[in-house]
Amino acid sequence: MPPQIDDVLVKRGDPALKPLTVADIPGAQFLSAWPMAQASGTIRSGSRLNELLLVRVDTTTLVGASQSNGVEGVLAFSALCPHAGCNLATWVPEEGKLACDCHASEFDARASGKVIDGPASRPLPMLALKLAGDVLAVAKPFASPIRFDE
Amino acid sequence: MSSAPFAQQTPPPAAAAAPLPAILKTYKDVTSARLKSPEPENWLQIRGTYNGWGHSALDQLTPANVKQLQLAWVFSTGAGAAHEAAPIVNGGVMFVSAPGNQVIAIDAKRGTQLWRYRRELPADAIVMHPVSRGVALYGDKVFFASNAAVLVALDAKTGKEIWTATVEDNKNGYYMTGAPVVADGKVIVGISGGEWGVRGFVAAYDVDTGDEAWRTFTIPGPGEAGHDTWPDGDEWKTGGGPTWVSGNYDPQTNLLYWGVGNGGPWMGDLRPGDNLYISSTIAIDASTGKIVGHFQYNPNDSFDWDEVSPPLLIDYQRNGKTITGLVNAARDGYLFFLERSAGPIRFVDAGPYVLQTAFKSVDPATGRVEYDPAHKPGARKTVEICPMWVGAKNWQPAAFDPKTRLVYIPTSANLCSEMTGTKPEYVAGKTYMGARNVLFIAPGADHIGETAAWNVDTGKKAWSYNFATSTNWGGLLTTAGGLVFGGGTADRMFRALDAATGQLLWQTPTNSGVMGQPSTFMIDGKQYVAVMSGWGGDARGIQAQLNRIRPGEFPEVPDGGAIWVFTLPGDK
Repeated sequence: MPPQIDDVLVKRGDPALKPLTVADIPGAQFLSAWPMAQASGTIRSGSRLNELLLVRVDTTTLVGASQSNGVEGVLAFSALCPHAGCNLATWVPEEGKLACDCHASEFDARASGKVIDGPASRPLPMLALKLAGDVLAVAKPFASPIRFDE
Repeated sequence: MSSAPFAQQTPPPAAAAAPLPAILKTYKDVTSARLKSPEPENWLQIRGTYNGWGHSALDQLTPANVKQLQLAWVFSTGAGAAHEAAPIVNGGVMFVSAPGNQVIAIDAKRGTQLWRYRRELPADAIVMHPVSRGVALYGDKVFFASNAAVLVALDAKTGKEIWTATVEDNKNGYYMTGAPVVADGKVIVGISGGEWGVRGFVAAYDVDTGDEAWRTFTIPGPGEAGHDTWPDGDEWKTGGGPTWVSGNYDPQTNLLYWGVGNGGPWMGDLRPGDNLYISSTIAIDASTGKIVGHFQYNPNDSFDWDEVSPPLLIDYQRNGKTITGLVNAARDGYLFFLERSAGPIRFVDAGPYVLQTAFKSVDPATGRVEYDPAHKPGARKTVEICPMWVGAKNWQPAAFDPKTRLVYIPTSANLCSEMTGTKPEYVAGKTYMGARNVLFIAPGADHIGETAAWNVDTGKKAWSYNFATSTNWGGLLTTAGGLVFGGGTADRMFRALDAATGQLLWQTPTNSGVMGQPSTFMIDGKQYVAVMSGWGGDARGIQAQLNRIRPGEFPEVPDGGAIWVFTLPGDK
């Protein structure tokens, strides 16, 4: 099951399964995370399509939907490049840019994952976040199922 | 009957199973003898013959008449992405595999569909390259390497599954993109996943039952020969060595010559040692799976220089002697001449066929290369490499013409990259690469692609048909009529060149970039040439990077796959 409204987020590989807060998200690197069903504590790690990456940017640089989809500059995206499904590897904080090593597609995190340069033909899917008390939570599911150009 | 619309009516009687069309009723089983010596009017394997020549004995098409070639039919596959397969033809029945994880059987004369097989892939399947380079035929079966690492045997007449064999767990990054090979009564496949931390292998299955006959790892484990070329830790377990292009085969020695890909992760300084057998050709005994010989082109590969495209089995002259040979236009930009035997592979000589800055020297006796340290990538540094990581020739096959004595290489020339290495963390099912590349064109270059013809007996370049604005991503076909067919360029063209002179004799635009391997066949006394057009993969990636360097000069190539078939006008 893909990320659902009210899911919290846990860091990939965290045995304590601690729901992430804004303070947990660094600026210099992105953080890999899974959505977790808040009621049952089930991590949705059964499908690689659910893997997320979280970045933190200066809120004054946000444009468009990135302004409303983030929490205090923390933004969540699919971890997988929409071109051929590689795990995104590069985050350039000064530019707010996520890039894929496989075929060099680049996405603008500050502008809702818009494609800066291809070959990806669609934006990097963005997951809208909200605050649930102190912790980050899913505000809206992905707009469409995670899939790849190739 | 009620007068209301869409009223329920008595359902028609269940249709009798449609009778097989005549062309399938008379389908001729493919035998070992036919694979070893195929009829010129058929194209039974992706490269025509086991030696990998991509050469046809058909000579109806010649330099004199090829300009009259016209379209016989075109067939949409219904899919996008790279269409890399060779159309296989047996008795007028064409079999192609295509993106969308499908196999289509087509009446090769009329271009009408006989059957279509699709295998569903899980939504979260790891298939970084959703392509297939073709099917294999044996008996009354068609063998298909499904993308999610399942080998499928289909009934050639109906397209129904006969058996399937799970080759490896796709969740751990193993997928399949190559054409199977049938030899020694077995169907043999390689594996993809060099960017996913796999441990590569070649595996053979019984053609009738799908039982696994042998599995040969390209990364030796503890106790296996070559394991000492890996560090003492666990690096070998995720060492890469994928095998994603079909090997060639020598029926006389019963040896497969299979190509082995890049190391995992990409940076060699994270796994010190030669790392056998990455970036090598290995000779595998088809009956036992034992590796009886090897040649490693790029020890401790740090360039992503998969040497998966196998050498062609060509006997050539050197210093007055005939060498029982292997000729390989390597991804690393050198043309290697080797000697094959019933066991070991011996180095003969090698020289660059493109601008190449990686090698400081090549040992004349052993062929061992010494790298220029300024041009060998590593984790946490940025280094310039020529050719770029995608190589001087990628998987797309070269072809040979025994009459001209020329090997024709679809070449990427003058393309280099700045490679920055990183140290990735291995997690099963996640990308495990550790390198970024920024493409650049070598200063002063006037072309970036070629169809290049090299004489195997002299080792010298005979001619080159150059492409100023595209590299050449397409496999080549040679014919006894004296023609070289191929596409491969961003302008969507499919071309015929004069095999002796390289003169362009004919070209026609297609729907997308031609990334397929051409084939040729004869039906009712008429010769046809077939090729798949459909752009994607690295070609699309490099086009985007070229357009980044010189905006507006390298426009996007349209997506979409089709099979194009050409013939001369008239009934004959």
